Amino acid sequence: MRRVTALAAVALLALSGRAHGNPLTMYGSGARGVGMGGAQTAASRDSSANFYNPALLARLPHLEIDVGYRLTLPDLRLNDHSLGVDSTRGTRMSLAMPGQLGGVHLATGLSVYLPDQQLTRIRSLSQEQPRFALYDNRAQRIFLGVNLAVAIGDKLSLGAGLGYLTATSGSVTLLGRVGFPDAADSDLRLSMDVDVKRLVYPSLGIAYQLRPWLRVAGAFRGGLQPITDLSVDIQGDIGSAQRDPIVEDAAVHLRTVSLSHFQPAEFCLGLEARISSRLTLASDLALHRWSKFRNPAALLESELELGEFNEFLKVPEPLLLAATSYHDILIPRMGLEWLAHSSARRDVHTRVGYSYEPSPAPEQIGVTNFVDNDKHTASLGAGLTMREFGPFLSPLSLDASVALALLPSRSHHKLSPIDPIGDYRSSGSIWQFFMTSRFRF
Amino acid sequence: MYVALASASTACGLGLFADEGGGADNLPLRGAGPYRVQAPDFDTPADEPYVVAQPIVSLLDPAVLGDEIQGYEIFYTRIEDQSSEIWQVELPSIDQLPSSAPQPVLAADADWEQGVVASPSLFVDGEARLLYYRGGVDQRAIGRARSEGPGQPFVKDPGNPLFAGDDPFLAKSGERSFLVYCDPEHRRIYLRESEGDDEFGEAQEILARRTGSELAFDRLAVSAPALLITPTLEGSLHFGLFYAGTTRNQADEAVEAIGYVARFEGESWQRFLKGTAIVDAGPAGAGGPAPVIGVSSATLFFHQPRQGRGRIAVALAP
Repeated sequence: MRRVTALAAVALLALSGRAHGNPLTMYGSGARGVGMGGAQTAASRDSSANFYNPALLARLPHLEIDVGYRLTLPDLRLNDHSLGVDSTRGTRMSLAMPGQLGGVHLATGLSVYLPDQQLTRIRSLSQEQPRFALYDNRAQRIFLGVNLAVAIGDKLSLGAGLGYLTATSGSVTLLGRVGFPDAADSDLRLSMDVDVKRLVYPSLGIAYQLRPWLRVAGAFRGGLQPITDLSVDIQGDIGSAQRDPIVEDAAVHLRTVSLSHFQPAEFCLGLEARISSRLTLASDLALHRWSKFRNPAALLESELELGEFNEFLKVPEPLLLAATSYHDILIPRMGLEWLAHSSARRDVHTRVGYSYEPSPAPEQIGVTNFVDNDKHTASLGAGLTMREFGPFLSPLSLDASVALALLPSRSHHKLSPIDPIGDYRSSGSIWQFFMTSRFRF
Repeated sequence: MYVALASASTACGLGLFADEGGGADNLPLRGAGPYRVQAPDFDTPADEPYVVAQPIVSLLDPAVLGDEIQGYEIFYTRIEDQSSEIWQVELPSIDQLPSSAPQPVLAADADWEQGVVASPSLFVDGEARLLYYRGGVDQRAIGRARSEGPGQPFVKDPGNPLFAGDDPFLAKSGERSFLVYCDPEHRRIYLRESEGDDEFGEAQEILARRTGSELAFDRLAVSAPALLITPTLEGSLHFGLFYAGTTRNQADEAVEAIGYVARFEGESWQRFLKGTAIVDAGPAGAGGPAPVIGVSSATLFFHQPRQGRGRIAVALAP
């Protein structure tokens, strides 16, 4: 009874959860963590700690390699019609290497996510076009994280790491003659200069073994909003090779700048309670700083110098990008793990989890349509650990989980009668499937 | 040197399988536009943007039933010499030729019609079809006829003409009927409401030509209103009104353009796109709007003069 009372008190105070902002933070990392509702800030017990809380790497007894696969099937709807939001799938690999250095227990870790479809996806729509803003780009990009953790005594662990994302900037330049009226008569030299820049954000973690059965932990993940900056320049004469040019030294410059793949800063606190020898409870609460989310619509800058043709071209009027007015959110997560079977040869775990993610998006009443809904996610999972799987791979764990996120219907009432979109309802569901194999050495 | 910043759509991806990016199917829209005129496509039999055109005769004021899935039934004013009748043709899709020969639907046979029936507006009421139209030349007035089903003849209302006016258009919401029309001189557009189909109430002026604005596309006249009524999620009504405006171009020729105004019930009308035209139809202009709003796209039929006679054309949004 005393244990339950203390547990309840800590649960009320706990502020934790997993981070959010790249493919892993959207859907979780590892089948065990997902099966427990993502409540892993204090409860991660494998190399997925690279993602949930790097401090926990220091408590792993073995070198571990995880290889897993994730499939996500969203069915997101407006007015009960599917938008056809992409399914996403990809391979996750993570590594944890604990060891001793000068009497200090250290661990390093590495986590990689490789999406199947696109290594990165950049799509910036006009701010008026309805879209589920959190599911447009973010699930489709490569992710890399490296971490270092240290155990201080028997109870305290600290961890830190860097997450790597990318931003794209570059230009395409065409120099020469633009054929007119026959475009095939063009004589242009192409040069491209595109950089995929590295963006780095920090992640920090701390864990403390408060009681033999109770661990509390906290984690932080930095936020960022990469900028995509692309330009196209065409310079040269307009005309045919056999005649004097119609326009000399014509120039077209197009540049698009957009913000995409926003990742909110995330503050997470959590606990893990071993209620009995068979039952483990995990709980998280996370703060996601969505209030920093800026309008991701693209700005197009165009400069035209086409002589007498200038008057025939309509250059779009400058548009103002409206504020998104997103707000910070608190996400509670809860998970249970039950040791269903234990023998000298194998353990079997079953897991269940739940999380509630309130939408950071306000009702879309104005010109923007950055849609999002609250999300209730329920998950189930199971894991099999074979203690003896051969001389080199011992033991081996196989985990699988399935999660269903439900997005209850939400209405968006437009204030203006001349809004070209009008009122609509948003709703949907997202199925998520995970499998992970874990090798310990 | 022109410099501008504008909102734009960009997309790119690098991937193992490079799937097409999704997430943009079935986008909702109210149909206000702006519309782009259907571009010529040499792989289709249609003469884009024209979907209905005939030699010699002039086709004006389309009224459209159907949708992009079922195909369209297009009613229009057919003018040949001094004769003006209402005809109908079936169109499988906007990139196909009509699937049926044009058929006459209504001809002038009443004295008040003065040999002219024009500006049809169709409303489907179960199996039956209500046709509102304009008759008369010197004294333009509104009449109506009823057909008991597709292919059945239209029988004119013995109470015709209903009242003076031109370019009628009927819309309904539940038991409430709304008839919009313009005055015979095309100075203003009015709205009359009825709890049924028969007794329309007092006329309310809802739009006037903008004589005070040199740049307004509706400086000389307003005409051809088309009213869309949709319930909001809060249960009130939204009124969207397409209409044609007339002004003079630099050659001092009358040219039409299509505009859009809207309001929530009980509130004032607001002009879309700051009161500019919603279709860039080129120097020939566009008139007689007939919108068809789908799940995620809107099709706007309109008439456009070409080589001295009107043709039915189409524009799309988004």
